[in-house]
Amino acid sequence: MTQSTRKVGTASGRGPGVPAHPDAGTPRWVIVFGLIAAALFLVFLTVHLAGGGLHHHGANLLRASTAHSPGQP
Amino acid sequence: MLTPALRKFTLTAHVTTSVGWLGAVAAFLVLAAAGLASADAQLVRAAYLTMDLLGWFLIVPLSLASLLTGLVQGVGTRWGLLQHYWVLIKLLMTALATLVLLLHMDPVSNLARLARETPFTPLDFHALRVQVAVDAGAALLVLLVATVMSVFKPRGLTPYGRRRQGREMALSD
Repeated sequence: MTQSTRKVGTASGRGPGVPAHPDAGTPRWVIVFGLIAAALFLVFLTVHLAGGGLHHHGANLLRASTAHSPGQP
Repeated sequence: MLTPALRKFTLTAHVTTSVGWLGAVAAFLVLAAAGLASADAQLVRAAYLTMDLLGWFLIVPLSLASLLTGLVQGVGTRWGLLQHYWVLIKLLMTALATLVLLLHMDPVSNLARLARETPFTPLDFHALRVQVAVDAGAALLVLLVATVMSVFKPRGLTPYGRRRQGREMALSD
């Protein structure tokens, strides 16, 4: 009787008899992507918080526009 | 699952809208750079007026269409939405880019309104104009990365994808 060479496991949550997938584990490119995304998110947060929140999303500009309205000193 | 004809139709729509979005953002970036760097007041005003039109009537519709056709492709084909890292990451990038775009269209519209209604000069609202140009550059980079991922489809199954494919392999044995 031949023995199956296919790996089986239960520690990772797979049921008995379910073979280990060849793509098991998180690929390195995904980890690099995640680190870059986290760094960019921190930059985004810093830039927006340093500017006092979502100032550029309308309110400031509307105030600025009144200072430019014709007829104003 | 989509029929082959419908799959090809939605794939064509997805590629067209996604690449169109990329091209429109590239044009937007050129205008943002011209609006930032030019000393010609007329050119600067024209740039922001055009960016407003380009944004609302081309970039926003293309971004929504790209997201929608991408969702249909994911759900309707063997790739799935959550099984492969490249599909999942591309979905997150597209959704985030669309959200940021919608949030950042308000300043562009206000700049266009100012260009239309006030004696707008090349020195006004410098910080905001820099922000609009940086946003456009960042959007272009994100869309280029998404395009490269679509072409190369880097390997890697998510934990959900591994479980699902493991079940399918067990069933086929």
